[in-house]
Order: sequence, then structure tokens, then C-alpha cells
Amino acid sequence: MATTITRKITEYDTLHKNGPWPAEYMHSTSIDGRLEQADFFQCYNDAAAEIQRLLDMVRAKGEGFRAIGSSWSLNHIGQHDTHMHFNRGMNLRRAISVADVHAQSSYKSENLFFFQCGTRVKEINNYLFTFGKSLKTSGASNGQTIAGCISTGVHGSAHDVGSMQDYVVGLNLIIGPGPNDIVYLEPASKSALSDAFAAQIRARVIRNDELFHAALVGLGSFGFIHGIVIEVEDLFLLNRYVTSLDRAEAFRLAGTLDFRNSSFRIPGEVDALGKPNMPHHFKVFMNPYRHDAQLRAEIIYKKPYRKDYPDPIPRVRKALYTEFIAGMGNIIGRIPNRIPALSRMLEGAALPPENADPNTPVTGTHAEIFFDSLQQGPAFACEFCVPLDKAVKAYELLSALCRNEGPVPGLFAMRFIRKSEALLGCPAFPYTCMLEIDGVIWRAKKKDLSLQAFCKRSIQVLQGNQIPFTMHWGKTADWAYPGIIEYMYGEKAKRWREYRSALLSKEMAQVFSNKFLDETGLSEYVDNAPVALAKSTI
Amino acid sequence: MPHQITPFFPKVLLILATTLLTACYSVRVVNRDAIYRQVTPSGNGFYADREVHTLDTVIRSKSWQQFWLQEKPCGDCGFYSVEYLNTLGGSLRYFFTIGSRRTIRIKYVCATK
Ligand SMILES: Cc1cc2nc3c(=O)[nH]c(=O)nc-3n(C[C@H](O)[C@H](O)[C@H](O)COP(=O)(O)OP(=O)(O)OC[C@H]3O[C@@H](n4cnc5c(N)ncnc54)[C@H](O)[C@@H]3O)c2cc1C
Repeated sequence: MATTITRKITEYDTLHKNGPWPAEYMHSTSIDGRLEQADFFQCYNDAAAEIQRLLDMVRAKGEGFRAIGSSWSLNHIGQHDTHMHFNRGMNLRRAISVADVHAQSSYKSENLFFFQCGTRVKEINNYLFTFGKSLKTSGASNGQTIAGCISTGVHGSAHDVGSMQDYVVGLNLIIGPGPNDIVYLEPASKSALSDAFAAQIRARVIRNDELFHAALVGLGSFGFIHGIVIEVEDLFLLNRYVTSLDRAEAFRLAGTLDFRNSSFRIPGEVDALGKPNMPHHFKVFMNPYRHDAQLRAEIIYKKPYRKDYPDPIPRVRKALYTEFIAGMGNIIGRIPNRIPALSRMLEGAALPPENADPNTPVTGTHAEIFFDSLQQGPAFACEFCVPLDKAVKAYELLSALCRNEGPVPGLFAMRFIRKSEALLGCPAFPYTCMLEIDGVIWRAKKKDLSLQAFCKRSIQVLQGNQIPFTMHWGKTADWAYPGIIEYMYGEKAKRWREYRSALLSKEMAQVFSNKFLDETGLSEYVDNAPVALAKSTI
Repeated sequence: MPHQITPFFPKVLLILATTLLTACYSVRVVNRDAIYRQVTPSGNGFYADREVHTLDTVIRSKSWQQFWLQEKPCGDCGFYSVEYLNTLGGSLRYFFTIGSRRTIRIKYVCATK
């Protein structure tokens, strides 16, 4: 039988110390190892029953329940004052067989995999590798859980792919303690799994596009995500270049992604006519306190898989954030006036070093290139998602804010991704620039700009300049800023509340709400939400 | 008559202190393909979200070259990381037992399946 260990706690904090916030209990359910060996479905259903038992207990007490993954979010989206559930012991995985696939499905069974919520990205990478498969995209590193990733909309910079939730094809949700409360949800327009598969996980099937897209980025509040079906692809290689490029050209590319007509080219990455190829991934870094003529950029091209490439890990590790940032944080945090000067040092520590020969790539699989994070210690990360054509303007505004009202010990970067179908997906524009500022948490003196004030002013500055934007749900922001959700999502936020209210009973919606959801106004229950919203549309 | 400290003593102490302090070090070996056993975050640094076990033990220097952990600490999953720490206490013991005993501290994190 699955077992739950419950610890009485007083507070909860994230990996990067963005809290702490109060919490009372930390539950952690682990699957039964013997059942795992014997029968996947029995083991999985046994874990589901245990989660339902916990939900029933919490519901009866009128308290709340919030699942957490790796606590890599840099805000309180995963916190609950009462019951929290740590998913690390729920990491079953299974390849989908031909028999599991829906008769009308356009998916190839070999590309579909089922993961239990607590499976971490690195576990997924390792598992898929054994099948010669790969994730299409992920964040810059691999410690998050699959359920945590989709709940906040984790992305990389693969602009042709999108975010992690965009390759999810089915969700298994537990929305309450009753027998009818295990749901398998997938879009009506693109079925993936058969009803027989759903029956094996004791789920009732809902095929509904909009409901599925509402639940995809569910902020931890659309029920307990127990299992996730994803579509993967054949293993591929990535050629990663870290190089410098002309500031003006970097900004032109940031606003257009027009690589084909760029003056910037890497000799090995051009077509037969000598025109630059379109990269798979583009990320550019900026120090707000310097007006460098050249900007550091990470550019990645996708290549077919082959086995004979040198081990990339030693070079990849050098190119990641280091523990030094945490040490820097302690110094910078105490003497804010020195931030601009020290941000130069931070740059040295945090930016990926240019390749010794910028025209020679580091080559590796997706899993190798986006490897373990070395980042530790108190850190913040704010991320604004803006339309491509507003990317440079947004950077200019926010960097000016750092210079004029700061200092702020952080560095900016821009990544680029395609629009997400998720109702509350942060990439809400046809092509979105994810403008981020990552840095160390600093202790502001009275007159200095604090992190909270910076978050608030960022919103004001962007709004004041009519920049449409959304914010990454897993990052640092002034989430209680009045009207911010309506500004960002408008009608979509209203629909999200309606779909959530149609799927969850009022009582369970309360169980799955938390302070974050209350602050953003998204916990509001729509009493008269049409029940049809949570029904299959075919 | 008060005891006189000869200039010889401070020098010896200084050498001793320097030797002992430089003898405090740690070496951490991490299995790069493994997945660590996770805990909810607390504290800072490498072990902030890793289930770490600490083992303090005294061994005879003779058995140093091959040291066996008595029990099977990580079941069938193996280690994610092993850190060997030479602490001040360990260096002192080594010094006062004229090299016959060594205190070692091992911190390890198990991998998951
Ligand atoms: C070092 C580092 C690097 C990062 N890099 C990137 C990056 O490149 N791109 C990017 O987009 N983000 C990045 N982030 C942000 C981070 O990836 C996201 O915030 C992600 O959501 C964290 O996943 P997690 O497993 O830690 O989930 P948590 O932070 O623990 O939880 C996130 C949300 O998921 C919910 N949740 C978790 N499990 C369940 C479940 N079973 N059912 C329902 N809800 C659930 C929680 O309630 C919470 O609302 C980074 C963060 C760090 C610390």
C-alpha cells in the first residue's frame, strides 16, 4: 500500500528562499515498491486512493491541500497555510502501447509516455533516453517535477516548440475523494488515449478542448494532477554556441527573430546559399548597468542524433550558474550602493562564458545541454512575457528603472517562445519574448528600492507605457497588484474561473485554493458556471 | 617564579594550527547521471533539498585504503553523492594517535530509481 508520512511543520520555503510562509502539515506519499514491480496500474491506483484519503480528511476539516514538486518556483504559488503534499515519492512512469492509444488518435504510440506527478525532468530525460526519445523542450535545467512545470508554464527558448505544457496530451486529475472524482482529461479535437486506458486508472473521461487548456496551466488549483501524458520526439542533438553579437543586431533579432536575413552568422550554421539557419533556441543577456556594444548570447541549432560526439557535460557545467552567485548575494545584499560595480562581477559569475572558439559548438542531447543547475542560495527571478515587437522597449524601460530607482542586483535575459494554447499560459502572444531578470535577494535600506518595490514599479512602468504583458507564474512578482490578472488575461481569466468552477465542487475548489490564488482573485468561485463546461464535447 | 613561554612554543603552536587547519578539507564525488533523493528545501547549499546522511566514524589508519560501509545504505539505488570530510577533530585525533587512528566524516546522498 502507498504510505504517507506526515510531518508537523510551522513554515514552508522555496529552494531559493523566497519565503518563508506559514504551513502546518507536510504530507509525503510514496508508492508501494512491491506493487510497482507487480502491476503498474494497481500501484498507480493505490497511490490515487491514498491521495483521495488525504483529500477527504482535509475536506472534512474544512482545510486546504496543496501539492508541491521541487519548490523551484520563486514565490508562494505552492504554499498553503494548512496541508501541503510533497510529491517526490510519486514517480511512476510508463511507455504508452499501441493498445492504449485512442482509435482516432493521430499520435504515434511510441511517442507517448505517461508520468506520475512527482517525476523530475532529469528522471524523465534518463527514462526517455532508454527509448531513444527526448523531451521537445524544458527549462534551462532539470530539477523540477513534471506537474510543477506544467502548473506554472515552464519554458526554455525553443521558439518553434513552446512551453512544457504544450506537449501535454492528457491529464489525470484527482478532484475530490469520491469514485467519480478521478478524471482523465484530454482535448476533444486531438484524442490521445483510449477509454480502456482511462478505465485502467479508474478515471471517467472528459474530452473537451477548452477545459483541457484551462487545466493545463492550473496553478496547482485545478485538482491534484496525478498523471500526465506527454508527446516526445526522437533523440536529437543540439549544437550550443555562446558568443557575442552586436547589440543593435541582437535587439533587431529580439524584435523579429529574423535570423535568415541577419548579418550575424556562425560559419557552420548556414544553408547552401550561405544564409544563416534558423536556430532552435536563442537567448541574449544584458547587464542593465552597462551599455555594451556586444551582448553575450546563447544560440542553439537542432541536429539529427548521432552517437559519436564528445562528452559535453564538463563544458556544459562550466557554462551554468555557480554557487558563487550565492556568495555574491551575501556581499551585494549588504551594500546595495555597490550593486552596479558588483553586477559586473555577477556577470562574470552568472553569464555562460563564451566558447573558447565561438564558432565551435558544444554538442549534446537536450538532456545534456540543459543539465543540473548549480544555482543555490537566496535568489529572485522576475519574468515578463511581452510581444516580440515590444521586447526591446520593455527591456529599455525596466533597465532604466533599475538604473534610476535601483540599484537592483540582477542581470536581464531574453528568451523567445511560441504562443501557448493554455488559457493562462504566460506566452500569450503569437511570439513571446520572455524578458527575465535574475539576481540575488538583497536587503534594501530604508531609502533603497526593495525587491517588493521593484516588482511593483515594474508593473507600473510597463502598464504606464502601454506594454501588454503577462508574468511567469513561477517567478517573483507583485501578485497582489490590484487588477493585474485582468490586465494580463482579461476575458481568459474569467473563463478559467468558470471552467474551474464547473469541474470542481465549491467545497473542493476551496480545498485547492491558496493565498496566491486569493491574492490574484482566481480563487473566486462562479456559482452558476454551466455544468456543460466540464463535460465532453464529443 | 612564573612559567616562561619560550619563543619556541608559539612557533610550534603556529605550525600545528596551520597544519591542522589546512588539514580540514572535503572532497565530494557526485554521480552525474543519478537522481538524488529529495527533501523539501531547508537551509542553503548543496544539501538544501537533498536527503543527506552523515556518518562519523573512527577507523584504524591501516584499514583506510579500503573502507567498507557496514550496512547497505542506499538499498539497490546506489549513491548520488559521497563527500569525505577531514575535520579539525579528525586531524587532532590523527595527530595525537601518531597517525594510527583517523576520524572520518562521510556525508552521502542516495540516488532514486
Ligand atoms: C534554478 C531554477 C531554474 C529555473 N529555470 C526555469 C526555466 O528555465 N524556465 C522556466 O519557465 N522556469 C524556470 N524556473 C522556475 C521553475 O521551473 C517553475 O517555477 C516550476 O514550476 C517549478 O517546478 P516544481 O516541480 O519545483 O514545482 P513547485 O514550485 O513545487 O510548484 C509549482 C506549482 O505546481 C503545483 N503542483 C505541483 N505538483 C502538483 C500536482 N501534483 N498537482 C497539482 N499541482 C501541483 C504547485 O501547487 C505549485 O502551484 C527555474 C527555477 C529555478 C529554481
